[in-house]
Amino acid sequence: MNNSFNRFSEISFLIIDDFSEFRLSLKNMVESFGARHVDTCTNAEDALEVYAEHYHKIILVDYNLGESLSGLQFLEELNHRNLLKADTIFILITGETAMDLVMGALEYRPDDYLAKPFTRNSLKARLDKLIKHNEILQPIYTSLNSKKPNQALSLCDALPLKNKRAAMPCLKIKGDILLKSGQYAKAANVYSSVIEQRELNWALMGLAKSYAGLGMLPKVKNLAERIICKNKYALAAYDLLSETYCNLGDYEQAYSLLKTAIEISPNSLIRQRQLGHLALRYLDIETSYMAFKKALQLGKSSVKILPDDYISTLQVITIVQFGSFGALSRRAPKEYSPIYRTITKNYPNNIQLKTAVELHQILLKYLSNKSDDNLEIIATFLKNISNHPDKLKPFLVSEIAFIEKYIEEKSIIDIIDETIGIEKSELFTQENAKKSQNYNRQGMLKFKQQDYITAKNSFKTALLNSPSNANIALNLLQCLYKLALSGEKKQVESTVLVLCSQSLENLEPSDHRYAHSQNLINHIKAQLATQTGNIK
Amino acid sequence: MKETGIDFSTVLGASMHDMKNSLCMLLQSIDLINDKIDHDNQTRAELAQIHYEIARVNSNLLQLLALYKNDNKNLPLNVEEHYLDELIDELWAKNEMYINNKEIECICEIEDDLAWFFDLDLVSNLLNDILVNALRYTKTKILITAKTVDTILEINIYDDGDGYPEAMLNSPTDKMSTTNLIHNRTGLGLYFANLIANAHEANNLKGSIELNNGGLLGGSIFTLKIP
Repeated sequence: MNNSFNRFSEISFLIIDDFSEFRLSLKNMVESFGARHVDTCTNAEDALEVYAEHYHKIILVDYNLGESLSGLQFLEELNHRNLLKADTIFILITGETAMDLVMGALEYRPDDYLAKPFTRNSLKARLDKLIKHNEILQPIYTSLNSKKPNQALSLCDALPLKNKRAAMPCLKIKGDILLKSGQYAKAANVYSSVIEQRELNWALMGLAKSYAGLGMLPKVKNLAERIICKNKYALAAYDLLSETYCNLGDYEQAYSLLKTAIEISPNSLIRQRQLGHLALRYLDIETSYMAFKKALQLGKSSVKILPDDYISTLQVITIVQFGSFGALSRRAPKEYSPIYRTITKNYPNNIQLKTAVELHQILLKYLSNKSDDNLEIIATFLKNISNHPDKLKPFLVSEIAFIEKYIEEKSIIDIIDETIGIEKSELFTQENAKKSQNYNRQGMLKFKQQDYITAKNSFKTALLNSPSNANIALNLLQCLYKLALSGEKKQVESTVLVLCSQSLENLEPSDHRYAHSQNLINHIKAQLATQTGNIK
Repeated sequence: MKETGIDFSTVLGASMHDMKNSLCMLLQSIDLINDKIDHDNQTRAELAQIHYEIARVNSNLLQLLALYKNDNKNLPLNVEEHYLDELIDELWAKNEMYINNKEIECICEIEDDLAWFFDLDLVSNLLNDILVNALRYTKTKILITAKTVDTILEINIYDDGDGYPEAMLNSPTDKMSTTNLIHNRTGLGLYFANLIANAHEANNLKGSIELNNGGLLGGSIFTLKIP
């Protein structure tokens, strides 16, 4: 008894609820267990700051937070900002049964759900259980927090021998670490071993991701379809499946799948962004317009928003304005200035973004008055861009390509070819998914045979044919790493490295491929540096 | 409904959220009162009654929402591995006040380190519903057992009350008639319990529930089987 009292006194709590009586009552409860450090917040935005300062051991958050982000979105934000400590216990309080919520949350799972109503006793019982589980796994969390994944992996094997109850959570953590370090074959083994016991949703999802990493797309497709069939709300499976369709070149399937996913949950910025792009591809302008606008709206309180989203939105508004969409077209001219303001406010120092916006503004000027003077302004502006010292960001390239579509003047097209000729050939090669998949497979074969130079060339061709395919970019990076290790540093061209970085640029920090790619890039750079040192 | 632009499930969700908050506050207030007042027999009985009714309102709300959302079929599950001792501990904790006020002796017999795959939330709601009912009708004791029988998990809740009425024993729970649902306070609960049990499938087997009388304590026996 004394022990458990002391235990609570050492534990810090963060309570988030918009309903003040409830917040207070919850605070009183945990204080009655002996907790001494209890912070409370009324909304997710404040809570992000408070958590970043104290890293509380236990977070108790209501799913429904009124106007603010939901409890689940709060968890997403913590993940995206790489804030959430491995050993923090995240508890989502819900008024409904958990099942409605679990569905969308395969990617970011709270450690537990607490269904209302609960009494002080049942809360205590639940917390005792979670703290006990957490203590068993603490050594692993400590290794993870100090960025020692290999140590964590061996602990995942060792702990279950001491305590049987650690077995399943250890498998889960192990799979996750393996995925994040790109050891897909091993990860697949771990997930398969779980599935042999029982077809758990997270294991199916993990296996699908492992297969995606191994380039076995038909298998990914089958698994993702299986998960959705079991559970029509499994949004993470929709996302994986639509990415897979895209990588297989089946954009139509990807598009219709995304539309279904958006119907289930419209509150995902990433999904809205993808829908926006795919809708554009199929010239479904109104859908694209709504999707990008929704993405910006969701971006207001999220770090997931990218400069590219603003530029894409500006472009689609312009398409609407100069198309025939009735009231939508008439309203369009009023939509620009709030976006301009947000960009200036959020990215005061992003020169390329500023350039892209200015370019868009002079394009609008030209479109409403197609005079030679305005054309001349565009030409001068583009010439200035070609003198830009840094490599052009994708959104700026995209804006220049957008202009090309609207101005059929040969002089302008010539300047554009000069300005972004190289980027265009890299970014806007006619996407050819089939060709890309073939080269990717060839590359993987050569990689296995340790013929890294041939593998590199295959992966490069694969990536050029499918520039947004993160899996291929990751394969190419891995290949460059091997080449750097084996002293073939001439083979590690910086242009190819940049190509990879660009394809991987839009990965979210929470994506298992993000950490892996960052690691590889750092290792490659380190290798190149030491070798140069040796030569000297 | 459509013309007003409000969709019914949103309204249902919002009012559910509100009602749950109220129930939660209600329970916590009673918790506090329970700590502060003297417990003569009558207050004990009254407190137990309040607790019982709150639990019932809550499970009705849960069931209504779940049934509405899932169109009566195709219950999606969140299956994970859970340890049975932890599940039962939490059931006791949820009803501790009720148990103390009714002065009922609660015992459990669980195989060591018994773990099983199921949807914790649904199964825990189901068992809580049955437990609250058993606490209401038992005289002195409740026994919960959990064991595996031929690769099937079997959870039994025994009491020493008068047992289930004959009519309930004989009516199959999966084919509840509407009259049954209306006239029988526990009808909807059992219907829902059956739905949850059935949704758990493994090795081509489906989960099930059974009602019996007699057994270890001589009262009613509720059995949940999960493959």
